[in-house]
Amino acid sequence: MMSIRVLAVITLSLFASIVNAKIVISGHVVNEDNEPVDVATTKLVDGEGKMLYFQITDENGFFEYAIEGEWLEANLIVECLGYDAYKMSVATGHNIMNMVIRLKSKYTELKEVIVTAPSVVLQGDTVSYRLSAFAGKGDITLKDAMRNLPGIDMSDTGKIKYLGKEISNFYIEGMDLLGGRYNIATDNLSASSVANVEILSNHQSVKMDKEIFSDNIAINVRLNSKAKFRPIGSYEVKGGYGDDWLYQVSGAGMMFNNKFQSILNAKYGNVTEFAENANADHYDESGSLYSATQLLGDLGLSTPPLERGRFISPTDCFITLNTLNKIGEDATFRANAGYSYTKISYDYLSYKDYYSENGSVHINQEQSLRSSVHRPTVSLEYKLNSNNKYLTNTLVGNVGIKENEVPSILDGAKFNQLENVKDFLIRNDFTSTWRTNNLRWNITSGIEYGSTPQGMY
Amino acid sequence: MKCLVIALMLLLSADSLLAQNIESLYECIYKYTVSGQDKNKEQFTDVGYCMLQIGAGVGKFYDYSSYQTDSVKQAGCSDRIISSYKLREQKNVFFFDQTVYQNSPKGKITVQSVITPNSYNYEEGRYPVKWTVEEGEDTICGYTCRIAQGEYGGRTWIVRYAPEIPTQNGPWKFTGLPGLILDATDLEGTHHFSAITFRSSSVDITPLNNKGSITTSRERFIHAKNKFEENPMGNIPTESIGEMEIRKYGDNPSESTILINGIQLRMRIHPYIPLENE
Repeated sequence: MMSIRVLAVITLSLFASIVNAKIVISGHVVNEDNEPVDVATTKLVDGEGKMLYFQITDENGFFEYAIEGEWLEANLIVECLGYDAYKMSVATGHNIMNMVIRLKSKYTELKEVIVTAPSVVLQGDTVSYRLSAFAGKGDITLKDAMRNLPGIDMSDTGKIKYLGKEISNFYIEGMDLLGGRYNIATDNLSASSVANVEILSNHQSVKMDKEIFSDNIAINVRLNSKAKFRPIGSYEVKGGYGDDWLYQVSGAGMMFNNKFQSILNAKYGNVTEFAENANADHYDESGSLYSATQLLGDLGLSTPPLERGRFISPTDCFITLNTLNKIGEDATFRANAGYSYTKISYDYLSYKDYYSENGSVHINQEQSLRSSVHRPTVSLEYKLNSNNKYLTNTLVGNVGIKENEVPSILDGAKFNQLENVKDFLIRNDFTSTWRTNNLRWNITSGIEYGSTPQGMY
Repeated sequence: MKCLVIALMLLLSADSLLAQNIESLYECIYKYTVSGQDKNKEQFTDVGYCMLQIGAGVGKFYDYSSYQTDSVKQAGCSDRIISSYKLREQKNVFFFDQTVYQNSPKGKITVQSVITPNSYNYEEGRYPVKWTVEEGEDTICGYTCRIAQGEYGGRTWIVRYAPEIPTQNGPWKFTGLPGLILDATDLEGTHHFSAITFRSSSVDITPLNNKGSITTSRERFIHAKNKFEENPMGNIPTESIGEMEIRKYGDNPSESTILINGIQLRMRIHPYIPLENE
């Protein structure tokens, strides 16, 4: 009987010793309104800052540690996004239970970091595409790579649309070097020179009207560091043999820095027609040149039922120089000069038999076209685009010399048609807008002189 | 009659409160990489991007293109622009097809995903992974990170978290560490989430809405999803197809969008490697 009593005492004392070997630290984390904070991180760290234990508060803001040992010396840290961190020293051999830790609201600003950007970034009205993420292996020029961008549509002539809407401005590093003749950039800038293509929705190109809603869409090409502040270039050589030797050579020299941009581009070849498109102004397609042709129409000529590129023999050449100087903070002077020449020839023969009661009627027709177009253009523009004043003066001079000759043989009878059109146009557009107090003033002038002598034989 | 009107108004206001967006404080963009071998035993790597929006106590993790659609919706853009972003979401070749709400509802993780032609949702405990904090430090995105390891879904995951960012969120279902998880990779190196951008947020978190989706359990969903992805086209019960819409954007099958009963069937370029094996 005695031995049983001793055993019971020993067992109880052992149990008590196990219970005493744990120190319980518990409490509730609440905010300034005494509402539980259910996502606070509680940490016990040692004197050197090393985390010993951590817990996250439950839905009631409750946390509890049961630490083995007879003495605990640590720091209790309670942290939560949007609150000031709470810190208390704990040096105890007893339990500390049901603490109430009240966190104070605090706006915490954490450092923002961008290591690499995803391929598409949205910033307000701007969508920025990292071009390398969309360019394929066969995409050499900016035009090739831009065709892959979501929402971008490029026509055969190089005109750019975004979500079905034509762009209103094309910028390189925020500067409008080319106006509507942006084919020069998309054809000659290599895809590898471009870092990002930015789509600027609701774009307002006039700074003083920035508070006025605009539905326009613009594109801004951001170059990578290798393409800025030093001359860069691209060249292309094509060769082949068809009925004759085929060749095409082109080259472009470019320079882009903060105050000056320039592109010199030349192309010559007999593979495809390119001069007309390369020099196309996508913002002004009203066709101010060749007004005589518009009036009388082109010489009517039958063409084979084939794609045009299959039967024509072209010889095209194109040279253009574009420069833009930034004069001061808001003013720019832009000069664009170009010359394009297109010569096309093709021959077409047709034999037609019409059967009738009186026998067949044969019509044999043979036509040859020799066409050439010379088109020098020059455009000088001064623009002041500041927050309270907008002034622009543009002087444009265009010449178009078009010659079509169509010698024909109809059932043995020879005749010749000749169309000779010489267009000449010079135009000056001036616009000035400014604000004084609540008034907005605007002066606009447009002076144009055009000449369209023509002759038909 | 007055009582009825008041009751109706209360119901309406309760409904609008439920639909309110949650303020997002920070957002973290993760690059998600899956590496494996295709049928010809050739190595492939798929790369996508995901967004973690961090609010007060909650988080939402989903595909970056879906986040962009949310952002243009909240910016009040025109329907045309919103449609173009939805289209881009559909054309996203490597789309992360899970939306994970962390601590929503309170104490739970909610996962929304798709097994065409249905949408599903299931809940898990708030911290599904039991982490073991390990020795060592690393620096990610300029933040000093601690290392932890945990088992989940048949994979061993090694994560790096930043105690300087006092939130328990992380990519996918990885939560419950004393700092934002900036990097997570499985031991085999198949799946890898890596933070590339951490910034203040400008887009609110759209609240959890399970309307129109079937509630199920995690185990049932994972089993069905992994089975389905073995042969997506073949595993759709014919009788379940009410309507089918195919939009072709190119010659490659991956450039087509297939909608079955309005739910997209995504054709993968590479074999599906599940995040969760069990």
